Amino acid sequence: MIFLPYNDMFSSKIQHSKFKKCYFVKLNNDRIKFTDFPYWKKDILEQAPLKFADYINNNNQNQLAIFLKSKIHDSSNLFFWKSRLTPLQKKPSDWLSWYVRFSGNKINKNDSISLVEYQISIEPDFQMLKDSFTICKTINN
Amino acid sequence: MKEPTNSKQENNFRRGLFSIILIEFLIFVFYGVSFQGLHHIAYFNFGIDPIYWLFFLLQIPQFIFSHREMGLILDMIILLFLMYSVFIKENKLITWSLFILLMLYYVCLTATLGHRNYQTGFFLLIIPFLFTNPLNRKFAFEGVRYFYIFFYFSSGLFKIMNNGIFEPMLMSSTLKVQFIPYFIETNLSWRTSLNLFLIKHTYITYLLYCVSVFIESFFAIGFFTKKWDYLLGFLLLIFHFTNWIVMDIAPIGQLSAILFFLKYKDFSN
Repeated sequence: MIFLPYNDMFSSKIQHSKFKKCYFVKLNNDRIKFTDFPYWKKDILEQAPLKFADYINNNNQNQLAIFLKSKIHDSSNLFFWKSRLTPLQKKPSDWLSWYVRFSGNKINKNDSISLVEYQISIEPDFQMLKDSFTICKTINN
Repeated sequence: MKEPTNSKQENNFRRGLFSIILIEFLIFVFYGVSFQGLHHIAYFNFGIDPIYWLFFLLQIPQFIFSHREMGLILDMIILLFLMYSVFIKENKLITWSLFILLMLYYVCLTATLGHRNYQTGFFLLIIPFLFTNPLNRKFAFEGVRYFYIFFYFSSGLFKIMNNGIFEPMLMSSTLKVQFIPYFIETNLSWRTSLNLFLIKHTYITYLLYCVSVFIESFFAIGFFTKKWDYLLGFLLLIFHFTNWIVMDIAPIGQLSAILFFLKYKDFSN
């Protein structure tokens, strides 16, 4: 909560998971780079694909929608809370177009935009790209 | 509304804080992440927090996200109000408006981001100026000061309680994961080189981690005395700027908190 700081970032022991996931948006098969942007913009461009991939993988629901569903059982009541506190059903094409524009790129007709997940193998001395797959894709008409 | 009558020293302190907040907000505008920059956001995500819920239940962020002109107007109002507070005088209505607008901005920004980074200085430090009565204002200043002391101290404590400090590999592993996008992009900047060096030299990275835990834990002294506040401000400056250099986490939003610790003791005396 804003007025109750609970800042335990970077405090936990390492989770010895060998795989890490990373997300990028591709415009016409070129990754949209974000690491050279200044902090806040870079952070949004880095975190937004992660959160949106999570949303798609959770059947078009974010974590708050899942929480509300577990707490509110009356459907009309649930709809009210979800409609105000969650982005409801978002078309992937809307999000992909927003991301491209927010990153400062222009979208032309017939451009293809996709959200791609990369799986990275973390080894003691190196990292290796193991796999990548497209989560969603749109072609601008 | 009753307007506050301040001493020259308090005015200078207020002007200093509001100047930093003005600079921070100009950076937000320049980076393209101010209200106007958040136009047409297609997705937002936040947790269980009554402040976020209040704004979103009233559909204020949703309205701002869907109206570019609204974002532009709010950016201009914030900049004008901050300039008024810095260059002209203190006005209670303007201070209240700034507090609400900047808190709303923090809510919109972090809801878009999908996680919170606790860089709240740019609106929390306005709280004492909401009070006209000198005694209430003094208590509010003390409250904000203790909030930040607890914030940094607890962060250091978590690193001890969660065993982070006893894990020499933690920081280099964190950097390894944090910099995956840089490696995928084949970003060849000095920051990538620095991180490759730190990932390789685990014990230097561990030493940096220990120093950061020491700085955060050292804030405990602030619970007992204000004598060390200048040192706390100086350590905070080193802590945040090292974070910026090493981890690419810029303290934009928290700069006013640094100034607060550097100057508060002189002002409160």
